[in-house]
Amino acid sequence: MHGLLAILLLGAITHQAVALWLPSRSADSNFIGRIRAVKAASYTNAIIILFLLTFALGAVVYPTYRIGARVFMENLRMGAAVGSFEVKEHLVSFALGLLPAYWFFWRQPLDPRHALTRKLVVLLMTAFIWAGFLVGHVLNNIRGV
Amino acid sequence: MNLSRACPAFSIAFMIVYLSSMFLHPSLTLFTYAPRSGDWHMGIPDLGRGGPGMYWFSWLTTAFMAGAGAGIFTLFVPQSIDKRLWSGWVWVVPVLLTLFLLYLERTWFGIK
Repeated sequence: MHGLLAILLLGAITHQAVALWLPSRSADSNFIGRIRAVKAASYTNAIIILFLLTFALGAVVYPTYRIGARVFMENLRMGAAVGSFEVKEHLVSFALGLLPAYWFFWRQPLDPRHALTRKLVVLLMTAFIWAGFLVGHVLNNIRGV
Repeated sequence: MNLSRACPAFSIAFMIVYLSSMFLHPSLTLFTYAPRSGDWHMGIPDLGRGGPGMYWFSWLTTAFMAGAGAGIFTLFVPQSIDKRLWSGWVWVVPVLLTLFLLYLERTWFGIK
């Protein structure tokens, strides 16, 4: 369930980031054009809810990882894998902290003075979420929890 | 009173104090979770064979309290001052913290 919610979150934040950074006024007939033409603001509440749910489920399975998968990887001296999870743990915590600011800069009506900050906060959230997803996916392939 | 003004300050304080808690461990670690037994302990007990202990929940709690404190403080700052502050700190701070985090964690990847 943690993984499935992460995929939904990844889709939502990626759509928002693409629509914000590479906007298209007209919905082109191709796949990329339609992604660029979505209304970025409409994803905000879904992203906040999905992030909180994904984070909460991640916190629930974290102890199982700590005494299972991590010990397994430590015994095999897989330092990079263990370290990747350490980085992921902190990046998703940054994203959790950033969430109130993310919500603040997406309040309606959008404040044009904060357009650049809004774009960069979305970019950061996207980077944190992608990093968390990729690390989690690879580690789950090494040793699932 | 516009409570949403507190959000950027919450975010910045949360992220700074989170990384500080991790970096200064055990100085800012309030409690420990023992995943084998499922018990919570104040401070950092010697868990012995019942270890390892998890501190992440404590770091999050400390960061949340700091964020809430910063947010409440912001509500007492006059809006005229508040509006003059550069909103870019909200992205500059996490970028700098991420670079510092990668520096701290480099040893896992064989970088000295």
